Amino acid sequence: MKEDQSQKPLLEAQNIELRYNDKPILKELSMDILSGGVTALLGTNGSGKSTLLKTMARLLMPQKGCVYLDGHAIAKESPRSLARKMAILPQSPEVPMAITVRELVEQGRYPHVGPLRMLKKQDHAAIEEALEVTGMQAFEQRPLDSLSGGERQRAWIAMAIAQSTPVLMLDEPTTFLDVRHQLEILELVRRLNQERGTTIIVVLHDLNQAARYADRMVVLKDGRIVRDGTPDRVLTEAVLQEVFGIHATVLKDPVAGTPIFLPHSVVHREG
Amino acid sequence: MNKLIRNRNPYEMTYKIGLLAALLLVLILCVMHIAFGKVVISPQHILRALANVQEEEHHRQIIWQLRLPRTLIALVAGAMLGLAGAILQSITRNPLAEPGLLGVSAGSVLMIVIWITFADGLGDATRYLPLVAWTGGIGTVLFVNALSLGKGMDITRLALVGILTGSVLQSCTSLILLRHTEAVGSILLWMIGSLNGRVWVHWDMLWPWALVIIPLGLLSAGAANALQLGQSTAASLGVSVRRMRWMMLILAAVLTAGAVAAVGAIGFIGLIGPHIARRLVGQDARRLFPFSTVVTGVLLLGADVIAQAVSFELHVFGLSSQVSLPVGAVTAFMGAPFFLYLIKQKRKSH
Amino acid sequence: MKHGYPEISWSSLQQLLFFNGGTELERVSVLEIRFPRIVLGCMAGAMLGLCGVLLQDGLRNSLAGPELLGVSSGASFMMALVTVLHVPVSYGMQPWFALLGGLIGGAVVILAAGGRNGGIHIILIGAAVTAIMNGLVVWVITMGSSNSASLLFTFLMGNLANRNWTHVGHLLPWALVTIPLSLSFARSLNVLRLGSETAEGLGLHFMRVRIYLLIVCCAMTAAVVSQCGPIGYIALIAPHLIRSLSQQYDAKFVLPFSAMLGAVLLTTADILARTMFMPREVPVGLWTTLIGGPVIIALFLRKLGGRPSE
Repeated sequence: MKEDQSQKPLLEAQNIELRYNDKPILKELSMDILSGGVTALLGTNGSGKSTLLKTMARLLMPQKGCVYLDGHAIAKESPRSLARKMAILPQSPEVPMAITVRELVEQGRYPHVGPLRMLKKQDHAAIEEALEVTGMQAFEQRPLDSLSGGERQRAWIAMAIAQSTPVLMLDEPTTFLDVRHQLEILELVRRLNQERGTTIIVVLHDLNQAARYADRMVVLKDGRIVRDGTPDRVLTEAVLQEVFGIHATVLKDPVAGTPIFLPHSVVHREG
Repeated sequence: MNKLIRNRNPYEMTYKIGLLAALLLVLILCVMHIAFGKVVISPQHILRALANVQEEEHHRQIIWQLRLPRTLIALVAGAMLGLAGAILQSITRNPLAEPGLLGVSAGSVLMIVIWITFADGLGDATRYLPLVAWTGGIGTVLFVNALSLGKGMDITRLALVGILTGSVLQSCTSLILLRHTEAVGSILLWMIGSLNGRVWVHWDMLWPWALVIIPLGLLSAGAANALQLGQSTAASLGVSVRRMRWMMLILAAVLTAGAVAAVGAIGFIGLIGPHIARRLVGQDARRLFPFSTVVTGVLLLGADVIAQAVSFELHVFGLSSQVSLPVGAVTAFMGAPFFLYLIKQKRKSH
Repeated sequence: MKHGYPEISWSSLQQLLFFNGGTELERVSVLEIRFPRIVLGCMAGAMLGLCGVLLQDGLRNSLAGPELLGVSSGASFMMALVTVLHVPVSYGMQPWFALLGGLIGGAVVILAAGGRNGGIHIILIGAAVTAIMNGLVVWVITMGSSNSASLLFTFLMGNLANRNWTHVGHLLPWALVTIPLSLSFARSLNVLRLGSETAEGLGLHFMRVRIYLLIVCCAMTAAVVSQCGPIGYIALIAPHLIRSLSQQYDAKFVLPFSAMLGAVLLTTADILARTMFMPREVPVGLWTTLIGGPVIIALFLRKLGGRPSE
């Protein structure tokens, strides 16, 4: 993402503070997301990265602070109008009893249809497109629970795509997938960003994959942002040691040119 | 090209055929229902009586005064229970949820029993029965919800509180029975559910509510579909999860209470009906809701046909002097094959 | 023992028990009516308390209890059937029929829930089976002759009224066999709590132990139901109270204490049932449900975490 100071942020979190059972998860956190990039949220377990994503999608309400989308506070938007502007795919969403892929994707049109919930032409077009982009057309009539993990995840993403929103948030979309399916999902995400200009915010665990597919990496620790920038600036030996607690060597990926790291050992802290 | 190869949703066809078949079945069952009873009337006679042919005066009386309202009540009450069950199963995302789950039936029955025993002197007591049942049903739902809502959609909690509350309420009913042993007979019938002696008065208090609430329930299908995807996903699709869930719970409660007010706490219909419907037309609430409404109506009507026929047999053989089999007992018997089926399902999946 | 009509003072009670003193009326009412009732209550309560522990630990489900798993209602249905249809069986045989009913109820619930013992599934199925059985009981009662009210109170609510030494005699052999048997399960229960895979790994035949557990539980519940009717919530509450009071989860500890607490709870409830609305008696099963229901709701709400409402 280009460092363009004049551009107004699309999504803006201001001084977010969120406690859960009096335990602070996010502390006075502020972050801007510009339009059109892929932002990866990273951090150790419990660092607050998923919480931040959910807060920005209004699945959680912060005790203090505010999230703005296009300059409007999302807390004041109606659920439906917000759902037309941003879609979030929760981490390993629950699989409903017996639903076909197409039925799932049709749900993505929910915020767009009228009170009678009848699908119109443009809804069907959006559904077809979402199925096509994710390559799920062949599976259209298959029940969701008969699919493999990777296919299922693609079906969920198709649903979020059918929502036709400028912003798409994904919470650990690659968890529990084998490496091929992980790459498939990440390439899909990248393609969505490049071909449709969707602004993407994704929580990831794998730092190498994040460096490879994201324009910007935001690293959280204990509810605060500790590093924020391009992969070259963020994925460094110092960060790995301080934030993630490992000794590692950072190299340059010979094919993609992005930084990759090789872990050596755990940092043993004294005291 | 792709479009040609791609097969259609198999459920789509079943839905259309199934709906037709169900409606056909309604007709057949209606005729059977009208035909059976203490006096068996042949179809020709039914037609002639419905057409008000003079010489069928006796049959005409029976049909118009006794059988027809009972048929209609069975159909509509069943439909309401079916829709309530489907709604509950959708929002709790659990196929085993049933209208009794929230304690609605128990609450309604308790209020009915209180009403019957304490307001007996009032001339118009039955007229207010649906209102009374509703008070009980809604009150219970509000209570259960207040206790269990707390954070999000914790279904375990909801079901648990509902079941326990239901059993406590049932004990309260028993407590009243203890004090008023003379009313035991009729109260038992409320507890198990019966269509005996349902006439136009009961129909009059059932249909206006049904007319308003069933369409409302059917309209909630879109939101139900979204809710089935889980709380976060539904929220990200723009559903106000809490409000929607509330509204649908209340809808289900109102539907159940209405049915209970008319026929008593009939069990299983609201569990089995939606199950059968789901097997046939799948999960999509836009098909599931209407279909399970119809199917459950058919089921209750069928159960009452059986109840009538069996009572008739018992009558003939002199096994039972004046008691007729309550329809609730028949639906309870339906439970047995259903659980065998569940067990078989589990076997297969292991 | 002391309370109820006729009221008997402590001293005359002492007289009665140890010196064969007191008036005839007093002696009969204490020795023939109240004493057996208390013994019966203690035994039934203890058995129910044990039953709760076995089911909860065995199925690793804190909501398990004979009243929620269809065991009680299955047993009462059988009893209703036997009594109303005048099936010629001796009193001694009745517990066997109840056992059959309880086994059917319990087996259906557990089989239908399949492997998924985790929480809600089994409870929902249990509720459904219980409702079926209750429906059938009501039906059986309406089919039967007059007097349905008293029948209803016998089969839908537990009752300790009008029980004498014969009832104690019927229950005693069952108690003597099942109580030590269930105490002997303590070790297996501790292993079972770790989960099926770990238990198998530790050399426990998982399914077999579970089936034994279920049978023992059904036997205890059935015996109690056949003599006292289904008494709700004792089995569910006693183990929970013991666990939350002592913070102990070791079955070796929980089992005996829960049995004792069960006995105490049931006899207390029975005293209440007898004296609250004198001269009328409220069936004790009604009391345990009316009081136990809210208690258990409160317990679970606390355990499930979070405030009841915001």
